[in-house]
Amino acid sequence: MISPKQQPSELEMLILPEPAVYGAHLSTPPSPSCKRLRATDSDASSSVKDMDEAEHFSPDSVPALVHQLHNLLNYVARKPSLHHASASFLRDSLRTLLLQNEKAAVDSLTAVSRAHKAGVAAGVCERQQLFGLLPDEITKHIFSFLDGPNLAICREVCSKWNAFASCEKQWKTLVTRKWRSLETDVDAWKLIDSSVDVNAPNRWRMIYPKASAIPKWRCRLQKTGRFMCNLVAHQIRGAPIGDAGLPDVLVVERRFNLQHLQAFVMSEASVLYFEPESEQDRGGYEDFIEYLIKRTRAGLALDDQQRFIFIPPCEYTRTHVKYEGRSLLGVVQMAYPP
Amino acid sequence: MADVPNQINNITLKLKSKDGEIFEVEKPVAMQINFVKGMLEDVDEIDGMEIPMGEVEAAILAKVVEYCKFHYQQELNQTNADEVDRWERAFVQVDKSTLFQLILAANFLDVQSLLDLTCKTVADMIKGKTPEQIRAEFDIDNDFTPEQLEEVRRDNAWCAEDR
Repeated sequence: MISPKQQPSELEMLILPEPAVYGAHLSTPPSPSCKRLRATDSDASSSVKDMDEAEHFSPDSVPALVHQLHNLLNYVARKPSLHHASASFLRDSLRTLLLQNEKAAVDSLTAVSRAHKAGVAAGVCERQQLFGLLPDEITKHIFSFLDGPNLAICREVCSKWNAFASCEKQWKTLVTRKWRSLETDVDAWKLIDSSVDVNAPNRWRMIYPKASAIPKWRCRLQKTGRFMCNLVAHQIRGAPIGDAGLPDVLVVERRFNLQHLQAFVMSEASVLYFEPESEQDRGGYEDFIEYLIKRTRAGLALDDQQRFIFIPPCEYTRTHVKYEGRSLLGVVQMAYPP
Repeated sequence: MADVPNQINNITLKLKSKDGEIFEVEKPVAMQINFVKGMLEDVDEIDGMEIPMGEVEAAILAKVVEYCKFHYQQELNQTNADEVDRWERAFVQVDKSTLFQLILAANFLDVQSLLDLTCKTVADMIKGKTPEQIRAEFDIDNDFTPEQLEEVRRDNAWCAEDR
């Protein structure tokens, strides 16, 4: 096996036109245009056609594309491991290849028209590597305006962007913006994605996909007539709650015997995770938990969709949902199951 | 500073760009530029003084001043948020090179709201694009080995359906 330093890797060879022929390299797509600009030096008035003929194979010619496609197929044939892999790799390669060729075509046209307009040979190849101008903190600041999926995509752009867009601080911000308790409630992580190691250095980025996909609702918790706190409810398992979501106000008017809960609740019932919406809601939230524990009852609310929403105290969920944390869980159950 | 007479606000400051152009700017407008503010803290006599604006060229400094003027007026007039939004969107309708020069200027001159506006504009240019489109947009080299790229792509399998 040849060391990658001495020899371009197989994949590089396959996507790249042969350097000797095109003088181009995958990692520097605009170089064909540089070459073209200089090619016009000798004869600024030469037409597009002349220029294409001047070079043996233009990067944007049928033989060049055929050659590249051929290389791609050869590469796939030689790699048994790819036979079971997802085709996304192949799609990506094709996309890169087509984009490159398209860019080469556009570049050659603009290069020619520019040389014509100027009437003189454009000796310099201008590259606008704008991000190269920016200090690292500014690039990170730009990334801070991106959401999760777009930030993830940035990781695929180049190795520098990969490092910036892997920044745990930003992923943590993205996750806790959706689910603030995750900062303190380590036990909740297991409810979301048990495959994520809560001590892993990249844990925030790893938990993001599942955490952000979980539907959530905001509601006011009321104990009969008294406002307790604003809640955010995340659905951690069970059947979808439906488009109507949760009621805006959750009025806990009744209590339900914990012993009957197990028998009454169906296995596919939706399970919710409740967290106080902000730090100001923490007090009312804690009071409510204390109240439930003292009565050893589950709080019970009935919404206008004829659903029961049980809020059993923490002790109960510890044994039944295997959740060790201190947050409240709730169970949504149709009042009159079909 | 509390008992400084009001008239001091009528003073105009001379901001000098890298290429030597002088911009006469009313003091309260210029004071939104933290770089200028910080500089004035160390001087007693500012009348007629030219303040060098570092590496910022006239074309960019003109934009910065335009921005500061609008924001000064907007605070005075309590312009509604929609209008500010519309103005700002028009303000950043510039070519990419100017936009990046503006970012550098906002950073150097320490005008946080302008820095946020311009950075957000670049972020909006990134949004919804594929890695290839981003590379093309900003002329970035793909320096990954195929193995590295495959690894990142594996991490990103969850957002594949959004592409």
